[in-house]
Amino acid sequence: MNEALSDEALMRRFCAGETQVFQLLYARHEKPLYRYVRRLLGNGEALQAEDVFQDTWIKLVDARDRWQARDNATFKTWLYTLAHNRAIDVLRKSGREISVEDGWASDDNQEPWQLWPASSAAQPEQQAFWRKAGQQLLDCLEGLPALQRAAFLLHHDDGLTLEEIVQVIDAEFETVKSRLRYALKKLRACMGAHIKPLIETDSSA
Amino acid sequence: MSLQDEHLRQALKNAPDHDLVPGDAVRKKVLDYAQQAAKAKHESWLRRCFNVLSKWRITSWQLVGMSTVASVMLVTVMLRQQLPEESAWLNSDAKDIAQTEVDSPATGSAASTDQQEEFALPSKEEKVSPSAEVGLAKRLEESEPVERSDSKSEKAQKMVVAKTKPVKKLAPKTKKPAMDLSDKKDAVVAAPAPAPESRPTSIATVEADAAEATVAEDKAAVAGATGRAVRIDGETKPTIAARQKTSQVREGISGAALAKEDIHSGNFRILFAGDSWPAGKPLLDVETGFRIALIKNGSIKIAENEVEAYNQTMRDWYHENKGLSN
Repeated sequence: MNEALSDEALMRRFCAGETQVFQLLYARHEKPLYRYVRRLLGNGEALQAEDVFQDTWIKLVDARDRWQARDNATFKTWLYTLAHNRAIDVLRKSGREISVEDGWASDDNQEPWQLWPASSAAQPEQQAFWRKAGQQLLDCLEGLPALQRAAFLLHHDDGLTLEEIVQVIDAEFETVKSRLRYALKKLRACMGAHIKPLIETDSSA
Repeated sequence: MSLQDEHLRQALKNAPDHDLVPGDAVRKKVLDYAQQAAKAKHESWLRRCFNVLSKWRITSWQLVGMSTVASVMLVTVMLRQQLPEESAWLNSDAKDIAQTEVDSPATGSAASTDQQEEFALPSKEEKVSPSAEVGLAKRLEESEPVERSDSKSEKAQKMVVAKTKPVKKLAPKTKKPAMDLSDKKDAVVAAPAPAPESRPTSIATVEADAAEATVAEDKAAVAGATGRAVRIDGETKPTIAARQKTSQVREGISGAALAKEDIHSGNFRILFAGDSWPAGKPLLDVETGFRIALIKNGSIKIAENEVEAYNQTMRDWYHENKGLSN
């Protein structure tokens, strides 16, 4: 990305009074951020997603003078931190936050996704498969604790590194690592249990 | 165990909610908020001050305090704009009156010594050095012989001559020591200050005045014959010698002419020809506000029948030029 059009450069220009650049920043992060908030809140608090999303941006605007682009604190990290904290507040107030491990069976030997079609497949059947898998993954995410869900979403969907996730969820590096490991283990198990019959059905057909 | 799962990533990418976006209302609200916030930040400081002031509730006590401060400032400005010459003139007269009353409180004749001497011919007891007078008179006779005359036409002609004389020609004579310093001190202190400024009398002031008196005497030697004041530093100041010469000239002239000379020299006064001035009565003329100058027997060479003409001329001038004498 051009340095002049990086998030940090745009944010600096916005702080200097260029209101137009904020529209570019917003457009760049609107969809992924809303998706993160929506998935982190889950189906139970889906109605709060727009409020959390809006509050995040307003807080960003209000706190723009305190923001400084640093090497280890990018604009994206800061934006997701604001959104994460606001979503966690909503979950805490609703009592839906799952803070303990669930009873999913852990079987490291089970690797059903190895039978899945390639992710780059463009055939309509394969697209339908991945779409079902995506929906299944969303259902599986509902059963994860909030922090594991956040670590997984930030790492796999939004592309944040482990160091950036540490800053967003304000946890130790090892803690983030273990949360992410737990999340993957559970999701694989969940996905394998649901996808395997689907694969077998598709294969027989 | 790897922390990256490409299949799960692909599943997320193909999830049904992947293309969800917030509503248009949310987008508009966020963008509008950001725009207004940026404008508010870069608002001019003047407008921000105005906004703060418009929100500031002024209590009645604060209003009273501000009104008091404004009133004091207004009064101070008005006092400072008062004419200094007017107050100095009045103060000078008041000092003269007070000095007169202190000098002769019991006799009832309250004419001050200074005022009496002002109208008297120079005598042997006068403080001005006679040698200086003689020297100046000699020089005057050598340079411009003046005949004393009662003729008005001759007087007017002399006044014209005196007016046309460049004053600066007299300047080099100022360095000539013409008088003893101690004599000058007495002379200057004894002479009433005709100028409106009232300066504190100190040794330095007396010495400066003495030097100035030297200049004044030289000029008065020339101008005194014509009976007019000498212009010193752009200001008309009747000096001791000028007054003495004027007194000499006054002898035998009409009251109206003498009054005109006094008016011309800025010496505004009303003459009193009676024997004694009522005790306790201020030496001020009720009609004009000019000071009263008492004429004792033999102290002034002006006929008593000319006093009325003198006073009438002075009053006429006052009414014609009301306020200028102040």
